[in-house]
Amino acid sequence: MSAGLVEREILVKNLDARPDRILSRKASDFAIPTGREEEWRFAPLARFGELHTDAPADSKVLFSARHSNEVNSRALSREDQTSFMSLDRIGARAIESWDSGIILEIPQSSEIAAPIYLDVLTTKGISFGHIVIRVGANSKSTVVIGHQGTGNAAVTVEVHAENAAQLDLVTLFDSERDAVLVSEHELNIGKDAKVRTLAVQLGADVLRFTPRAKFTQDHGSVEIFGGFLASGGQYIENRVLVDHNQPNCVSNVLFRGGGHGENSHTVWVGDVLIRENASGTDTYEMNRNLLLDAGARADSVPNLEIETGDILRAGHASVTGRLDDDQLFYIQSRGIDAATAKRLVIEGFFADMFGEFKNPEVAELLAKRLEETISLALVAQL
Amino acid sequence: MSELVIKGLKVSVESEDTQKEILRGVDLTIRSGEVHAIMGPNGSGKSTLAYAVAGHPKYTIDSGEITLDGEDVLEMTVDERARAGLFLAMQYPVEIPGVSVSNFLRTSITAIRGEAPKLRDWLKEMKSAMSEIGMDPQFSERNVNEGFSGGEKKRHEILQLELLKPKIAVLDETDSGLDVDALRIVSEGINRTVERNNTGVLLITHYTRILRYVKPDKVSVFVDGKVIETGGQELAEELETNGYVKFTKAAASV
Repeated sequence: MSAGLVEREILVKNLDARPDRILSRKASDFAIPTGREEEWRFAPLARFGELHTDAPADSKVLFSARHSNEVNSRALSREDQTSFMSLDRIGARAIESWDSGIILEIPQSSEIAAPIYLDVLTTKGISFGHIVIRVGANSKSTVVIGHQGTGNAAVTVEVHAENAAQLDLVTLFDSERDAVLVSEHELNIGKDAKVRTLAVQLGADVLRFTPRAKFTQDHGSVEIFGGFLASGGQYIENRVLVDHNQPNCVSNVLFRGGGHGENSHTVWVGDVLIRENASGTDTYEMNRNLLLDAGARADSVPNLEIETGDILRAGHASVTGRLDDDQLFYIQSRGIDAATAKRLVIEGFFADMFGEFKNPEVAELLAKRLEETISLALVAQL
Repeated sequence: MSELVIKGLKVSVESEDTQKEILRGVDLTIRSGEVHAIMGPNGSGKSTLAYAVAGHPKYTIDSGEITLDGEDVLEMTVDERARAGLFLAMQYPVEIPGVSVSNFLRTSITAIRGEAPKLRDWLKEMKSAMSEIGMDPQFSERNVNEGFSGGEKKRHEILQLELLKPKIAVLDETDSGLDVDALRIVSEGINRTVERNNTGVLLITHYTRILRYVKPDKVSVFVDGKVIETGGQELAEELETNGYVKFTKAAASV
């Protein structure tokens, strides 16, 4: 562990069983949030652009896909089966009232080398969209969802990874600085399937990302990684729920975040639920935050709800720290100027966020956008 | 020919609400090609001297001066001091997660030399320096000091000393925590630096053990924030036999 960060690692049993937590496709099942609810207690609702109220959509989410012809994609229609259930009113509004969407089908046993790009563009006004990704059994692929544009939008995603499918799902949140974007992911993980997700969050004024994973059978594996860097005034919230509802599944959650500037606020809430039948579960969740100046605020709440003791591992950790004077001194004492020293420490902090994710094209794209954002953060510090 | 001159240096550190004076008027001169050992008991302020020369923000300079070839070191930022030719090998080198040794060294070399070395030349230079100090080349892909043993951290410090070729180097207890073999290898690195680069070395230690391998031109005894006595190698031998008692008593009676 790096020096200067306060380490807190805890194992909790039966913390916070949540009978009030519901899943639904109907907005009317959820009251309009007031900010007092657990789900909304950090969120600046006044800045959510009416996404959480009754205000109807007056704009449209635009989708486009770029991929080889081994893969099928088309506009989503109301005839298509969707399974998506939301944990909150905004997600339910999206699945209830989306008027544009896209469906992507990766054939079984296919191995798609080139990344599949889904571009999501939001425009001025309120809009809702939905994405369905069907990942065939024994297939192997990389999907990159890129969020751009402005306005107030909620875009929901459902992923169905069939048996032994391997999917790397990267989401790049890179909206305009005035955008409000709410994104809820539902990951359905089949037997022996392996889904790795990475969310890189740089843009938007308000960004709320709520990935939820569950297993359709045993021996599934999911990795939910994320990295975010908030600047002055920006609000970035991540709420992760891994529902270990099947035996012998593995989950690994890692979010690395940073913030700088007056009123930058990041929130990470990680919930792992291990149900009574989920024996042999192996789960770990971790959030690390690096505050670059006194204006930044980070909230980090790991929760673990365990209904069976017959598991391999269940752990979580949360560490929030500031730039370490001794690290900066050490680097500067080797002739490296203060700004470059900070850059090295910040880039180093985010380095393992990519995990095992090695697709060179996508890794380069992400690294480049992250570097640009770090550069802006450093300029803001001068 | 370079010269680091420390005159009347008084340094304090903030502890709780009060400033605590640690260095109480240090006078020292270190010249190119010279090894000057500073020996003193724990808590005498040796590390504070090292950090003050390098410019750690935790320490406040109350009075006195430090110059390198006439230039005012105290006016320089930490990185400017390094680029001016000063080097500090730390007693506790800091871990930098996510930053590889090779990236760190190359960034440092580029800053010190004022231009990026050609990649192929650089890889060769780094490899050969690593092999001389007995570091596996695989260390270049590891994160700086992360998971290094005590001995590996010290080798890594001396590797940097050899690559950066400073005019004057302050080595803060580089010998602590080393076994006999590592002590010999690290000492050879220090000797190479003095011979090849004519670096002047301020060797801070509280054991005479390292002085068997690195022969000092001067030995100063450092007690209670000042230099009490300066002599040659024989002073180190006296300390080996009699310890610091005589000097700590002398300091107490001043």
